[in-house]
Amino acid sequence: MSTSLPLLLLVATSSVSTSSTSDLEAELAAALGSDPQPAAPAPSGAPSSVRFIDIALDLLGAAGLSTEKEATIRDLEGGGHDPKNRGFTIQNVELTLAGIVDPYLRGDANIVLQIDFGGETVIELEEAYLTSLALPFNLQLKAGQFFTAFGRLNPAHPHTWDFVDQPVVNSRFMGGDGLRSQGVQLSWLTPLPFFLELTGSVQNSQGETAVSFRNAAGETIAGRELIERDVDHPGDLLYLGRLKSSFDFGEETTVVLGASGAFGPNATALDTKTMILGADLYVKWKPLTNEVGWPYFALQAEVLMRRYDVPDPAVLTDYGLYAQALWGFVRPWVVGVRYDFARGQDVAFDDYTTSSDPLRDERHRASAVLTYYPSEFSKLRLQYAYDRADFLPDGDAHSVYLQAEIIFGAHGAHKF
Amino acid sequence: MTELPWWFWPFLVTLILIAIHTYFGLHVISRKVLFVDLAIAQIAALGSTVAFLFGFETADPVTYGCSLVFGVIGAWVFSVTRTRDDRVPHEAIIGLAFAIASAAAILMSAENPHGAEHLRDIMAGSILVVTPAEVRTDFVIYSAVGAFHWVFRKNFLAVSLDPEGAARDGLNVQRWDFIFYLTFALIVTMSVHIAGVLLVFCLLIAPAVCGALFSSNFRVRLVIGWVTSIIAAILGLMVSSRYDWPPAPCIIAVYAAILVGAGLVGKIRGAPNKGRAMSEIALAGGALVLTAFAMVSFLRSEVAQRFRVAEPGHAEVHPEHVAPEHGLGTTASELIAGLTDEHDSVREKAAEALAALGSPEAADALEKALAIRGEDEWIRVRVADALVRSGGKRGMEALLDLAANGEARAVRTEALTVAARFANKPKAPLPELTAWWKQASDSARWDPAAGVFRD
Amino acid sequence: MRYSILALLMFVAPFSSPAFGLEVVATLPDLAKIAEAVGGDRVHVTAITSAVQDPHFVDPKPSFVVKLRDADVFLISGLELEIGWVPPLLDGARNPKINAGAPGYVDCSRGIPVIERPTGEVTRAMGDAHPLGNPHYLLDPLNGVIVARTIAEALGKADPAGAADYAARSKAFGRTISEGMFGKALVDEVGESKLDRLARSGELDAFVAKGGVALGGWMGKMRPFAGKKIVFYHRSFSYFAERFGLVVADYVELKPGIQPGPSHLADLITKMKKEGIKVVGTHAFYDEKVANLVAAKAGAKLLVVPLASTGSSYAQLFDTLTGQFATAL
Repeated sequence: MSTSLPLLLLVATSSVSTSSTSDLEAELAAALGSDPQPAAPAPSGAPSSVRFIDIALDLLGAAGLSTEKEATIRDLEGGGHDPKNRGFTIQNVELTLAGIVDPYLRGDANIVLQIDFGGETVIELEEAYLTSLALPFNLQLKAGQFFTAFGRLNPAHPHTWDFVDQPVVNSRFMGGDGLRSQGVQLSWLTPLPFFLELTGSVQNSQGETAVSFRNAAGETIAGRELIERDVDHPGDLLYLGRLKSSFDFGEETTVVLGASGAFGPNATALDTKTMILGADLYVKWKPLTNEVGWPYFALQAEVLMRRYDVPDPAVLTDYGLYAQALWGFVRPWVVGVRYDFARGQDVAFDDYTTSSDPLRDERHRASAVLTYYPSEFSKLRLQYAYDRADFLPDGDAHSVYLQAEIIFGAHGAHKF
Repeated sequence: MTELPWWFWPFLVTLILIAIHTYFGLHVISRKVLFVDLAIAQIAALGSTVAFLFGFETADPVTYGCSLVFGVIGAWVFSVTRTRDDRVPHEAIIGLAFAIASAAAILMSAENPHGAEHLRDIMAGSILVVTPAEVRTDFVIYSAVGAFHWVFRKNFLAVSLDPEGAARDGLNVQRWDFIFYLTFALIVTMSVHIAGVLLVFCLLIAPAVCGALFSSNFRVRLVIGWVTSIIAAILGLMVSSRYDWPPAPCIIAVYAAILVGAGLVGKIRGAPNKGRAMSEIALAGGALVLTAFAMVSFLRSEVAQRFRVAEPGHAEVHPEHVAPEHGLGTTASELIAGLTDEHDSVREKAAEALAALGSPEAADALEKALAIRGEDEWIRVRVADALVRSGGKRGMEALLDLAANGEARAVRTEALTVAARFANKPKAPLPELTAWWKQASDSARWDPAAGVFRD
Repeated sequence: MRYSILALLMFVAPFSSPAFGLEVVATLPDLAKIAEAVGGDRVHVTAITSAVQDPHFVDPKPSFVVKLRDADVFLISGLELEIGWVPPLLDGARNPKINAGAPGYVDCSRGIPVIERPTGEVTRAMGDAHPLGNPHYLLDPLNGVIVARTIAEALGKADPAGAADYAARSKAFGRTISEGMFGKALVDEVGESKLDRLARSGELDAFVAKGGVALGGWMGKMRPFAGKKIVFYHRSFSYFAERFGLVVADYVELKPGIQPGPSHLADLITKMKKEGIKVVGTHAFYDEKVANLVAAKAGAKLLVVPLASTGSSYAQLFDTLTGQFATAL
């Protein structure tokens, strides 16, 4: 098996070497003074430019108002980058770096700075990973620190979201910063006549960015405190399986379906496990003669379920969904609505009650958004949200946000 | 009236087959005698081979009847031998029957020129070319059998799942066994004609296995079997259409994948430590994948060494076009460099400029430029012009050649004009010039001042 | 079960080799048509975008990923036209044959003389400007001939057995285009390459005047309108205008990718009236309301022209375009 890697590389490079031999031959023929051919045409339609690294900076900020006090707002807006102040929030300053390392690897890194509600600057390494470019059989390997490929929203960066904040169910199951960790991911584009992609990854299961898994000792869930727990065997890591398929209906409509499952240990005891299952749907309609992308209609929904073992023995079952619809009706405006729902199984433990826990009570939220895009590289967004949750003192809340985003530099194109 | 898509009838017939076969398959695995269906299918196929030898096509009613007779005989034999004691296991008899029937079919087809195709059709089936009439016939007969089995479902289920209990309850087990095998043979015989032996066997056993992996309830197994079969049929037909492969083997292959998946899921579900089970499977899968890669890479590299890639041909000159900012020098050496530039307009201008200069030091380079294979004729005219003015007589020959053989008429005219001017015979026609040059080439002297040859 | 896994892997392995002929995927429909002309029966060509679509803004749909997964050769137009959507497609396709830098990745802008290359600094204050120059070079048929050669070379590398065939077909394509451009009589008289050089250097008229054969084809058709001014929505028509002698005096867009405001439109309309500009050209995917408004107020005709061929061949694009302009001007 140790011989297969150089052989693999041989297979990968064999296609490159045949072209270089013919160039070499032409050069030799020219040098040896046979028929004096004019120099081989240089591969230039444009002057060559050096491009070793692409750097881009994205600035995402919001101003917010709510009927609730700030402490409650922090519970309402569970996302790490959601606006949590009455006033201004710098949600996210994202520095993106990307570059081709060599014919076999590409590197990407995402460094995020934000100012928390205390006014402190927090810097996080959101993602830093390598991606393979030349594996056979349509495989791709990713290694490093990256977002777990669960569902559609988890791996998406906040500046690409269609709303100002994260859906409730994502904040609860994936955590405020999304489910991300260090590890390895292998994905395969199957050779079927339609798009079907299978992804599997194994990552570390501890840390604040794995809130449904080992998380960090001292944190609590549903009134139970998390303990120190180590990795004893491979089953204690975080595993992901995902299936993504897509179909086109005519030239204007595309449907993307996905199913994901995340499995890993949690730290309420030494042998407890967590499983998160999700299904996602994305439908986009955009006519061929669209002007810079307008008009379009997009529908996106995800349903998630989490089974969290606790040592009583019992199982905490939580589930939730979000569904959003966006309509770019005239350039450059987009209007959208979103409905969030999340609920945790009612479970009593000591003096913990589900209805007072902002992370597990029954919660509904309806949001409406209007976005204006002066160009591809900036946006202005107004969002109104109506919340109904058990833990709220009045039972419901109204909030309004205004968000602005700019991006400059060379930022790669986003996935569909 | 919109035309039905090509896959409509094949898919419909597959659905009908799935519906009835899943049900029978569950019976078959309950009886724990799995190869009886394969054997009956092969015996029925033997019957159709016999009819084929007498010149009847697969779709003729006579062929159906013949294979049905054979199938019924086979079914009768199996039902009679079921309750024998265990000195000779039932499976042995059934396996032998399969082998003997296959051998007989091969022997009978050996002499026939279309024998090989017939055998392949028997195995792989011909779903793609199923006719609406065949589908209708099948639907009617299968529905009748299905209805019959539903009416007497208690008896059939008892006899398959718990024969001792049924006997104790006063049921004539042997008679109901025979009726079961009779209906079974009828179904299998008809299916083999359309779907082939392999697909019939697969559709009997695979859905039942999938169902059995996840449930012990007959009804739940039936539903699971139906759902997985429909998925396999859809994907199998899509793959078959994409790569132009026969559909029955494609469906079987897709089913293989589904079975692997179902087996893995079943294993994980049943394992006490699910994480451990998953990691074990992942490791085993990874090891297999790496082995497969190693094998494939090894095969590819050896093959590459044994068969050398053919040498690519000599590169042709591609006249390209000048980029707007490309400049040309004014001294002879710069212009000489321009003669071998990649852009054709640069080469043309260089040659024109050198013609104006008329410096002898350029003669060598111009001669080389004249020898470029595949060069544009207009450029060669200019190069030849410049060569003559630089004192190279070869230029004249080139001009005369271009005047005679140039592809574009304007080239021929231009070359003639230039050559005639050099020969100091401005209006002379080509034959005259050629003749003159033939006898004057050695003695003619170039007069740079006048720009003509003096002989 | 282990054997099933192995069997499955063996089943998967041969899917990656080309089943029948070369699989060629092109981003633009014109590149696909040229590839079909050059490749003939040996290749199977698909285009990702359609002729009525704006090629700058395309969604990188998963179904395109599937097309690229099976591709042996990938043709892009280059000059950063597709930079907004091709990289995620290549990332998803996981096909090392067509990664940037691999022989299967063909940048068809190679060897094209690019115009409107910005001098000085390029920043986004200039709108969504193309820093490498105007990428719509396929609107000049002579560039189509260069592209055909590039494609023939690339196909020859991927399929050496057919290299001679591709070279011959590329030559035939070049001939068809030249005859369409200048008229068969002139091409027979003077030769393709010379006419190409003359057209590019602007000496064509003088040369034709000296000779006896008239200028036919598309050049001949557009000859009477040489120097006529038009207004266009976006900078997409520069190559056509330069080749066929039209002058694009101004643009409806304020800057590339930036919508025009009322003051710019007012200036534009005034200019059009003053200089007697009678034609406003636009494409199907631009906002018709604005273009209609400009045309109506300036007393000009709105011409909706295709950006790529909607017919069966690349040459048909120019039949259509020259016909449209000849009628309108």
